[in-house]
Amino acid sequence: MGIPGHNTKIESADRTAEIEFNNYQNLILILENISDIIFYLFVEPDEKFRFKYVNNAFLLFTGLKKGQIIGRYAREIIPSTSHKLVFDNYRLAIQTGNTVSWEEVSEYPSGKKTGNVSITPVFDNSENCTHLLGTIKDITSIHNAEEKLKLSESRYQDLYENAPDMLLSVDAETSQVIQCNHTLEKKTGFLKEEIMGKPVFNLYHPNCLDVATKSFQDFLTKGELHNVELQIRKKDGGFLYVILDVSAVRNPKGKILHSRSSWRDITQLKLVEKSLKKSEIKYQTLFEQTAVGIAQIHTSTGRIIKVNKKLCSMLGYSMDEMLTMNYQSFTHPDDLPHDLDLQQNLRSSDNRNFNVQKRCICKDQSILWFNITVMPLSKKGKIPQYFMVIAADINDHKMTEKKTESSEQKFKALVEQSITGIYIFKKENFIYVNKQFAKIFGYTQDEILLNLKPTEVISQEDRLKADDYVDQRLAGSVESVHYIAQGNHKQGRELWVEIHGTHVFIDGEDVITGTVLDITERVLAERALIKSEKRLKRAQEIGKLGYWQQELNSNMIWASEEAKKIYGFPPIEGELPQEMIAACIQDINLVEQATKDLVEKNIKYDIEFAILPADGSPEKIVSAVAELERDAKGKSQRISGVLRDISQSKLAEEEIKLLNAELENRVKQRTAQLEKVNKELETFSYSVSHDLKAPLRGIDGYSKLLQDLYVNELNEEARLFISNIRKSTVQMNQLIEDLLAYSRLERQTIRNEHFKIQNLVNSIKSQIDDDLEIYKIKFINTIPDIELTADIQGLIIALRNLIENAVKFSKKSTDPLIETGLTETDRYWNIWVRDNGIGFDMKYHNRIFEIFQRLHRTEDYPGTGIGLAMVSKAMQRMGGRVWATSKPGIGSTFNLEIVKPQ
Amino acid sequence: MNSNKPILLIEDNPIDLDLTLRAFKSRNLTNPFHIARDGEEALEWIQKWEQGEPVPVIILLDIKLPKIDGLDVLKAIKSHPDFKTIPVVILSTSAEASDIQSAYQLGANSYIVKPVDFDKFIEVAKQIELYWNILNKPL
Repeated sequence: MGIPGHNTKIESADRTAEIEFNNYQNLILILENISDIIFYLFVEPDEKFRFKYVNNAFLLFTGLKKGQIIGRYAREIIPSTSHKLVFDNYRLAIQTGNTVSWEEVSEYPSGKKTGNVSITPVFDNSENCTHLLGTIKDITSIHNAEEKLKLSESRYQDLYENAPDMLLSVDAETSQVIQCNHTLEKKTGFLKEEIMGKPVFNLYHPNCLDVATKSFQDFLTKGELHNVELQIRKKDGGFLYVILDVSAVRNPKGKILHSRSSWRDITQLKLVEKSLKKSEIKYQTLFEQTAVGIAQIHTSTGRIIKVNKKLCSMLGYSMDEMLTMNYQSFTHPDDLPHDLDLQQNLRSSDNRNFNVQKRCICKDQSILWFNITVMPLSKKGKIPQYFMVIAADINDHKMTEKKTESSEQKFKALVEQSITGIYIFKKENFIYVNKQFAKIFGYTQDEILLNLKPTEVISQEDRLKADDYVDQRLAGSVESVHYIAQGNHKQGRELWVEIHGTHVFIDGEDVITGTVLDITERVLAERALIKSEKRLKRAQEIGKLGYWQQELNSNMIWASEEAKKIYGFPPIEGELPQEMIAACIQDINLVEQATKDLVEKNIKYDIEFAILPADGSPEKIVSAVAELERDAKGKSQRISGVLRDISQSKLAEEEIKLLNAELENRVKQRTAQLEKVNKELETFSYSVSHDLKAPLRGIDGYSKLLQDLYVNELNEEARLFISNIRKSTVQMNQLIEDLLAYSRLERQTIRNEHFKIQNLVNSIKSQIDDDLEIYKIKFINTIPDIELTADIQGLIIALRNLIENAVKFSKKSTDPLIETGLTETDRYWNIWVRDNGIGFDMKYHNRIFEIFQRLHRTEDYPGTGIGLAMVSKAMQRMGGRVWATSKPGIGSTFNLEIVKPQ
Repeated sequence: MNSNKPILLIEDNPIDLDLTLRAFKSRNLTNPFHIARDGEEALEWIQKWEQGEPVPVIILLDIKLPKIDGLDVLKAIKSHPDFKTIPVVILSTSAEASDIQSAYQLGANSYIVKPVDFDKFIEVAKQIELYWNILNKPL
């Protein structure tokens, strides 16, 4: 392991060396255990870059082992797909002398990784670039989550709106924003109205307008843009760092219509990056300014494997010379026996660090005193193959102490200010946590150091696991762990953390050190996504509702789980070739026509068709409704729709149809039967009227002839008999006439008409004017001049019968009086006919409306007992009714109630 | 009044036939009466007229007849080119609106409901006589 240094004057002082050694040990530990990926490349001629150092995070990131990297060329390690990008940037860094950063996606043994890479050139005194210091920020999970979200956004509007990234579409011609999501509003503080329809450049920070303008031109020529770093304005005057990703939405001819852009807020990341860059420079400075020599030595032979410049310059050898030597060759002969003993000890398993002061002989034969710290490079309990020595010149005490102090301060400030949480703890208590660590859990640093046990920052649910990890590492069965757990926030807030932790020794003690990242936002976003997708899925399941989407320029159809289930495909969301779906559809012409109509004529897509599911299940009937989605310019883009299995309701519908047909048939049969019965009844009445009347005519005719021709030959009694015979025939004739009228009423069809009721009553009255005059009956009609809607024929029969009755029963009263009138409510008209005739006992009320029922003797009040029955029948037929109030000797009032039409 | 011309009476009921004849006799009508007792006999008279028998001055027709219905007889007469001008008076016991309507539609010249009261019967005979008189007035 080589850490570069430069020449400094070599002097001696024990104390300083010890402090320095501890600092460097800490530095290396931090380097090894920090979650940020750090690597160090040696620059060789012909642009060859050899890996000299990588930290543990690098190994985790790539999935490679140290042995596979160190000493190898970058060209062999970095996937060839990234070579051009990477080496162009290396070259740029070397040429400009500046730090160069980029985002890189590479395939490593650990999987596809996305990283933000920064590279800083290191120059020697003669301005030659000797090394490249690199850092990588692993953004794979962010990148992946982003990819996943992008996919979902296009399908679900709410997810689009609330995507973690700011999303917007920019018109290619006008550069105006035509669409943007809620996240953009939220992050910038601008409202959609303030953004949309305005040039996108309004949103950029003035500092990056040039880049933004150039990017837009690039987009118009290339159709896509990736990882352009820009700054955008916030409404409150602040700004955000964003990474711009753009893809183009084109018309079928390939012309770019508008962009689909996303702005990822990397303001936080940027801050981390900035502080990291600072820290890199500080590390570098630290190495450069270090006053110690460092070497890695083979334990059994004592050979120098690696050495830093500082040590070389201290001893006066070149690095190449040093690498051919063993440590024995420059050890003072007096100190050699002791050293060899110590070397022997190293080969035992007691691999503790130790210090030793010894003399070395320089190339120029001068002798120097060093304080040597020896670190075995092995895991606990194993014999170290190598050991590291740090040689501090003891004379240079004062000067070095100062420099180291300032180095330590810088380092401390860096760790303190890091936005990654950093911790060191022993089994039972924390030794150190940085500010960010405390902030993540809602505490102050002191609160944590004084009150909390290490795993108490982990939630109850995950604490057992965390305890277990601690035990495993302290027991040495696992070296480092990396896991996600729920944190125990002081205020009880939901907290998710990503933890790295490694078992190391500090000052001979077993400790665990590592980093903590607050990933709550990411976890919540992921969970919300899952939840929302689950809900949608469940809704589709319950409703047997499938969702599908077809891009017009593609022959793939995206289908939801339920949609695939309906078609009998395995229920996994995703795309299917159009032909596979078409193969299931019975009448494909119908579906194709509907699609064509929708796209070309904008005719509503709402069809039902039969399918034979791909899994061989029985035929289904489905209904599909779809809509055309257009882009901002009105160009058709895709069809999306829902699909529903309506086999069940279709079956039910068929059944209902069948039942209805059956019912109709039965009704027809019944009607026919009824019609037949009616016809028979009609024939019967007809026959009655003819055949009963004919004999009557004979009886009456011949009685009359007897009366006329033989009057002189008959005595008084015989003449009375003949007179009675003739009266009976008249009565019989009346009975037949009334019966006929009654049956005719039955057969008459009901027809509602508008008519003036006052006129109607007057015309009925005019038919009995003679009677009114003879019996001196007063007739008062108080009915107003209004229109009624009713079955006029039925009403005429009812009113005529009532008025004739009134005449019949009142004509013997003194001052006979008949009155007619009308009252009305919202629902009824009520016509009444009143007389001051003989009246009747109300206990017979219901009987008087039955056919052939009479309350009086025929000789007193002649009648057939059919009149009121006809009134009742006529009212019944028009949905109304008749009733009467009466008092014997006072009079009667008959009421006709007619329902008003709705 | 042309007393030579006969009157055709189409009636199945013997009592009605007798009473009708008596009613006319009481009005001192001298025209001879031709009688048909059912629809078939009535149609035979048409043939006889075609062969030269004297054509009646008026036809009195009952609707309800055995064999061939009175309305069919009416139709036959009223559709005959030579005899459709002979006035036909329907004498029926039916006062049904449907009967009256179909009789007029087929070209009946008058429709009279047969009364039960014999006095009224004589009135009817008088009316027919008047009607017949009016019809035969020389122009």
